[in-house]
Amino acid sequence: MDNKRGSSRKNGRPWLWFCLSVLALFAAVGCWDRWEIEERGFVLGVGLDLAEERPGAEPVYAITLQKVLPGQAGFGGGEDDGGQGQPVYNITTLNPSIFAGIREIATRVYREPYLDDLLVIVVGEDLARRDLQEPLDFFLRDPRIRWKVRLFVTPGEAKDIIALNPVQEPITSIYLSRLAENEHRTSRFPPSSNLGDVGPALKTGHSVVLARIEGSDKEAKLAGAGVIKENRLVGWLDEFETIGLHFLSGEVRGGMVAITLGQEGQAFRIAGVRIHCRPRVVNEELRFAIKVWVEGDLGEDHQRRRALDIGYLQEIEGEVANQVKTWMEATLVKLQREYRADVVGFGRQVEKRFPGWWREVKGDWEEELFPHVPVDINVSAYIRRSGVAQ
Amino acid sequence: MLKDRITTIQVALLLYTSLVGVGYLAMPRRLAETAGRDGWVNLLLGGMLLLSVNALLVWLCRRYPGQTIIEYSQAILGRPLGQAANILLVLHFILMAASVSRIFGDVIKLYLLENTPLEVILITFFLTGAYLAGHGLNPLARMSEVMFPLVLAPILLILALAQMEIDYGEVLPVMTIGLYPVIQGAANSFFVYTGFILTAFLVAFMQQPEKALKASSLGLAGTILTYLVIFIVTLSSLGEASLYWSTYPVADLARRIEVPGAFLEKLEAPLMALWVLTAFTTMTPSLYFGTLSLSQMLGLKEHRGLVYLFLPVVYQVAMLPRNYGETILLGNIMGYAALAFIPVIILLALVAKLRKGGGGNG
Repeated sequence: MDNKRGSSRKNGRPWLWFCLSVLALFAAVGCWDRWEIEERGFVLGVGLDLAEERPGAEPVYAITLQKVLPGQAGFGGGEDDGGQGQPVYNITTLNPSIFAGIREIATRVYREPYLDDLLVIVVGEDLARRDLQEPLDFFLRDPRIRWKVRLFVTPGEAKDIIALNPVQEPITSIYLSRLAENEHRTSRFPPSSNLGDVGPALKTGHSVVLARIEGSDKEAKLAGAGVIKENRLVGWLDEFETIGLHFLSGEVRGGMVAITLGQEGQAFRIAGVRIHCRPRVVNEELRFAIKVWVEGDLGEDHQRRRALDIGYLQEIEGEVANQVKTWMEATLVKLQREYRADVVGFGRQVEKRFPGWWREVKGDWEEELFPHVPVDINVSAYIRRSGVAQ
Repeated sequence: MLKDRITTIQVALLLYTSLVGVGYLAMPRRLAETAGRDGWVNLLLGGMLLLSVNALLVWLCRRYPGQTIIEYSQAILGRPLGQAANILLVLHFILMAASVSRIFGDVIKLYLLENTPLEVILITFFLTGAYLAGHGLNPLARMSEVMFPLVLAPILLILALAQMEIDYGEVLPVMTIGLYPVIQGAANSFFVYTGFILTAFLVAFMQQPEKALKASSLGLAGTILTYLVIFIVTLSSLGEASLYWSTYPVADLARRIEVPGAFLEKLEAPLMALWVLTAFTTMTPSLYFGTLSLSQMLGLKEHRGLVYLFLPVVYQVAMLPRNYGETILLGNIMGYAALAFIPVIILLALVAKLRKGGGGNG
């Protein structure tokens, strides 16, 4: 009681405090940034194509948004959609600005596009060959778009990939992004093909690779890579060249090596890879030495020899090592001679090791020096286990 | 006049929470702009400078026990010159509070409240801060004790989760551009340590002033270590290229993190929510010590009401920048103001030594 009286004497005018608290209520009723969930037009996938090239002006982009239709996305027994299938709505708009294009969709769709949950961006080949930095700038600039958004290039039109009707999953964008999560099961597409890893490289003009995606009617195939140099797609790496690339950069997270010894085939499952890449100067000449250690299990063997035989296992190991080396060399030839694109990051190794020299040659590295650097590749393979059959 | 008494650990925590400010979101980019990969060397050199200046400051304070820099600067330099230094100090606190709040407002608007007017964000922020600052140093010190784990939590969370995809080789090569640009960069990047001048006030309030050097050095060393780890982890995780063009590299670190199983995504939102406290623990002390300086300069006994007179000035300065570039400029001016105190402190120490002023054991 005493305390209460004390405080009211201190405050003096209770009516003033009452009015102030009522006023304070007005500040609490609203929120400028309220955005109800049913008012959000969830966009899960974006396809970017080149619609029209205009000389001397910005090109016109064809922007395809995949929006989820919330009414049909309930995954219970959807009786009334009559087998029509996909709970998505793909909408394409033409605009020379991605940002404006996405916002102008408000003239056709009443829910504002909500990009926070974006999963994939697919870029068509025509656009990728022209320039990638400009169309992707918006996605890198918006603070709400996550950096783990998968980024794919397709040899056809991105629109067609977004419009796929996969059997395995009703929403195409979810299907595409789940496919990319298989990075630890196969090495046939680059695992770091996402906005956060590629974006900075595009802004600074470094060479990178993007995962390549192709579609048929009911499914897509995620395999191979597009080589991006100076923000432009300059060419493709096929599936095996992509594996070779992963061995060069040490990014292998899984996959298979199939070999033939004599007439019969064996398959080797990659369990772990360690690489050591180091530039050296031998006789005034820059050389790279790459050492690769692969270990894994024997998954399949068509021969009748016993896998208990250590000598036989060593033969297989030698052949696996040979196969890996062949892949790596094929990729290197393509990157050095054909594309002149240092996507592996050899230049970065030179910078670490010979920083003074690097500052002099930095500008000429990709065009003049990188294509002629000799690379010595040394692969060792180890079979650790061979299954339960001998 | 100085009724409040604070403990040794409160001094360390108050310094830590005041110095680890809003700037850390952009700090890796600012450092990379001047020094590239060697930004952490800048932090380290700047940190050494910081610790030695702080030792000098503590020595000065111990010579004039129970007095703040506002009082003993007049005793050392004489009234006109001392007051001139004090005006500089008040301006510095205005700049510090304004710059911190503006960056805070910009980031909140960018990441959380896109449609909320900046004025509303800043006014609510300032009024809360003024309420606390008006109650004196003790509540402020207790706040820093409570907030310390909450300031540290988002930093530790982000740094731990970033360990999943990281290549510490990004730090190499070290110091290829030579020593001189690094030293130059260290001066330019001193802005991250703005607020160290707080020691000049805090010692006067300490229960055990003999522990002043230990307490303040602990708080500052914690700050230096935090910044070092943030810079190295951000560089190693994002790569040098990202540091240059990302506006807030540490926030992008959160944007990049994906916890397997995807049950923790979009970490920026909780990070920003906790980060509000970081801004608050920097803005409020600068508001409090700004008002305290002003009241002591004018010889006032009570500074409570002065906070509300001080606030509109800070608000006006915070609203001055018209775009992000000008916000950075405001931050730079604040940084140079902080740097300008170093010669002032050395001058004060020299004159105090020559005049053999002060009664304390120096």
